[in-house]
Amino acid sequence: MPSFSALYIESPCRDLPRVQKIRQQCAGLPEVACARYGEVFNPVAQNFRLQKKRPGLILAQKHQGFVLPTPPDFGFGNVHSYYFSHLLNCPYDCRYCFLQGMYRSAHYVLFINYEDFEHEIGKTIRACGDAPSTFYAGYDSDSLALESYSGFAEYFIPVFQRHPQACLELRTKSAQIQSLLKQEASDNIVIAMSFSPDNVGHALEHRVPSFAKRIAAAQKLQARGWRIALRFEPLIYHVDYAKHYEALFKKISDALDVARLHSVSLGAFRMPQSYFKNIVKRYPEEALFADEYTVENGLTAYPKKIEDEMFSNCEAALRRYIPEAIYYRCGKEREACL
Amino acid sequence: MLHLLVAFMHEARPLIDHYRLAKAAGAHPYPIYANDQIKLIVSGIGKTAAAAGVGYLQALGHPSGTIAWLNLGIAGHGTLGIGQGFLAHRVEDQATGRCAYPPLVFPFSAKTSDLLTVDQPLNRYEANCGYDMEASGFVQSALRGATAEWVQCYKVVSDNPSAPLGKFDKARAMTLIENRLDEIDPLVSMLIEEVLQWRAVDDSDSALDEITKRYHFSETRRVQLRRLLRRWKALEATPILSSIDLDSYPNAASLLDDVRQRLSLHRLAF
Ligand code: SF4
Repeated sequence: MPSFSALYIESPCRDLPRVQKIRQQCAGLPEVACARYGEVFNPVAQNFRLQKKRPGLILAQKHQGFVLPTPPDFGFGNVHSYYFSHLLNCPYDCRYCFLQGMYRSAHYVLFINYEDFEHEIGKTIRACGDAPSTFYAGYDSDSLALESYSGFAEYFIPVFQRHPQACLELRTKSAQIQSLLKQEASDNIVIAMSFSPDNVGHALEHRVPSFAKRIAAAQKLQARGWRIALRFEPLIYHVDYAKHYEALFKKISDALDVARLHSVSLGAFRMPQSYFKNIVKRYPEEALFADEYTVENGLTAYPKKIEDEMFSNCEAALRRYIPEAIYYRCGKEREACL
Repeated sequence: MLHLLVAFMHEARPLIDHYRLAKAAGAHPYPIYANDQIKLIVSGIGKTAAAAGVGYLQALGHPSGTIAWLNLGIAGHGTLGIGQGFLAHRVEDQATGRCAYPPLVFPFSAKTSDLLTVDQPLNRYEANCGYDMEASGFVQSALRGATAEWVQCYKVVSDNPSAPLGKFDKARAMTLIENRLDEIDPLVSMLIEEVLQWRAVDDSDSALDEITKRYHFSETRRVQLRRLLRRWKALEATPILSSIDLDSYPNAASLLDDVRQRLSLHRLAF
């Protein structure tokens, strides 16, 4: 459970019920009023890495840009793909995550006006007519990590249950699944869980729950009828990577009912160059960033030869454990909960 | 590595004694006291004086690396009792409405409060709010050279609704600060400790100086060298100066080629 340094509250939303509940949960923390969250979150002179030690939680209202189209090639292939972000920043600390380089502040911003999100989601779904659409949550954070404060899944699962023609993907490395277990599983809601080989996880995925806890959570969810997707993104190049990824695929396919998986994807390490530069400045001692990278179209990535080799080896290994039909290669743009 | 700013000599005196600060050599427009970790300036009253005091310390220069800034002093407060200390979590300039939010990232358990910087002493108190005359000028000025985490304000309550502001009593100001050294001292030590830790992370490679002293590097090559040194530090256990023969290269370009070549042999392992 994250321990916040302070609770910052936009004055106009101080008395809203969702804010009241969080204030009670955080009783004893310094409460700081602000006019708009940007006053706290956006100033230039901030040190992300220091703040990451003990970020504050900012409760704010979003006013525009509730639902946005995903970049091309993102996700599992619906023409109508969107994302929405109720939370900026993540309590976990994966060194390869673009969030480490995107914002100046490590404070969490929780947009609490879910009703406005719901309204825009409904409008977007209606605009798609009969065509299926997919909505990705957890683009600028982990979908479930702050669930005990945000009640995000608790609120939005029923929203999508009322819109069966639209699919919701929750992306997570969390093992906090209580709010899912309290609800009925739905075919149009996918819990996408991200995994890395143990050695990569230990080195790069700080504060993330253990593999054992997360796989146990996935098993419980499957047993309750939830559709689980697996995300192996980004593939991290290192000595014996092929062996480590194959061992991971085997371990997971032994633990889960593969026939009931929604989808499985591999994704490359890619990040906007400016974010990459920020991360390197913030974590100069991190060996991951001392490897060789190339920049193409503003994105930092492994050299093509290495990327191709990794896909070829990992895809071959993955085929030994999962059916081809549920596999896709994830897109070229940024993603948060990879 | 810690710069302290106080408005009055009587607020400074307990700190000068406690930290054994010596008067800085040379002629300065402000009283300045220092030891090898702390520099203290007595700026005079008001936000403009505080901003100028910060500016003066910045202009004096200091060894490269992170500096923490702390504004210490007495303040009014709408709720807290006389003699209680608090860290400001929000500093508002009453005249401009401009706010700063010093992040509370360090593990320090003092009370925290809003702090309103006023131009004239006030006799009105709002609940949960502190009142001083320096913090906003101090913060805005210090933020020109440091990130917000390193700029903090700690105040000791000198007046409140049940004991409103009277005539400034020098001896009382001194006693109030002195009596809160139990809280000030851990704050000062923690900031110094955090700066030391941060400097270890942030330390630009001393090898850069060594190498550029021996060979002539154009600006472009210096950037390349800096990048290669960072990669070296992240990937290799042995420091670069113990791994290469610094006198063996005909020029900077060949040194860069050699380092590049050595790094290309490295494979990341977890
Ligand atoms: S990769 Fe996902 S879990 Fe990790 S820090 Fe980023 S958003 Fe959080």
